[in-house]
Amino acid sequence: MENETVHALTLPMTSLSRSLPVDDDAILVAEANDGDREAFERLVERHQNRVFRLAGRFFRHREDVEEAAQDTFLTAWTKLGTYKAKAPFEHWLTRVCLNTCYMRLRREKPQERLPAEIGSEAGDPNARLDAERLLARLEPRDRFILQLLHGEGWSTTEIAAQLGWTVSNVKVRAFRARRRLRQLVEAG
Amino acid sequence: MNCRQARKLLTHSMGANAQARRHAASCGACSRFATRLKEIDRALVAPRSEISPPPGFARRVRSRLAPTEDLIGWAALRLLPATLAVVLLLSWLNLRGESVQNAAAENPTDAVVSWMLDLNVGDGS
Ligand SMILES: [Zn+2]
Repeated sequence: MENETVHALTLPMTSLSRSLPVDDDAILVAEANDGDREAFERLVERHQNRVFRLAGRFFRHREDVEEAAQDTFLTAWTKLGTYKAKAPFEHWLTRVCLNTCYMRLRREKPQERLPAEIGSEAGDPNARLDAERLLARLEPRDRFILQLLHGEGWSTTEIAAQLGWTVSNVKVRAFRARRRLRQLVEAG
Repeated sequence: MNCRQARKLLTHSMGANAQARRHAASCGACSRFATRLKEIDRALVAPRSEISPPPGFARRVRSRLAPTEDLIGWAALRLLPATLAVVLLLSWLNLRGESVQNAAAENPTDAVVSWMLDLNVGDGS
């Protein structure tokens, strides 16, 4: 949870950042750091929609999304002392959420990655199911990085800043993920 | 541009690279490749689920918050004899050359980076 100074960079964060008043967060964080659970509950209320939306990018089932969101806030509570307030709280919380989702994805079984059915919004349902089956064959870490690149629309620099990784680490992972995706599509 | 180069560019751009698309327009195999890629891009962009926080979520989180440092401090004080015994045991094991693994990473990011970059796990690629 270090290096939140990098988040002082202006990140687009796409739809993640309809920013809440930072000052209010700062007060609540300070109170929560003093052990005020009610203040922390207020923080949860203020940020739960964003955390659910982000977790919903990676998990299909309600219980997984809820558990990922809950784990995010429980981790945030225990690590709150490491947040130095050099950047907005929501950026720090985004990093906690992404890390939490990652750790859960590692444990996800391949059969859990496939949808039970394809929604009507998807265009050609067969083509969509074919795409979902192919994505299910990707390693979770490969899918994760592709979702951040193409789903969230973040650049490698933005991903690095969000996760606290080096840009070269992100580039290596993105290269591997794309190579694996190409191989799977070609093998089709 | 050959098929291999075109597919690399298509994958990198998720089908948007103009040069690669020109190649795909005159190559059946790459055209099919681009079509599948487009569908995958659509699947990646769509969230896997759109779930709102249930009523009372924040309160439930609050009820599960770990004890604060003060409470931990008191608990640690009560458990001091047992803690000392464990520390001595671990030191003894360490002296015998047995490494004690700390499975729970202090900083999740470090564990995640290790995982992502195959420092611990091979991905066969
Ligand atoms: Zn071709």
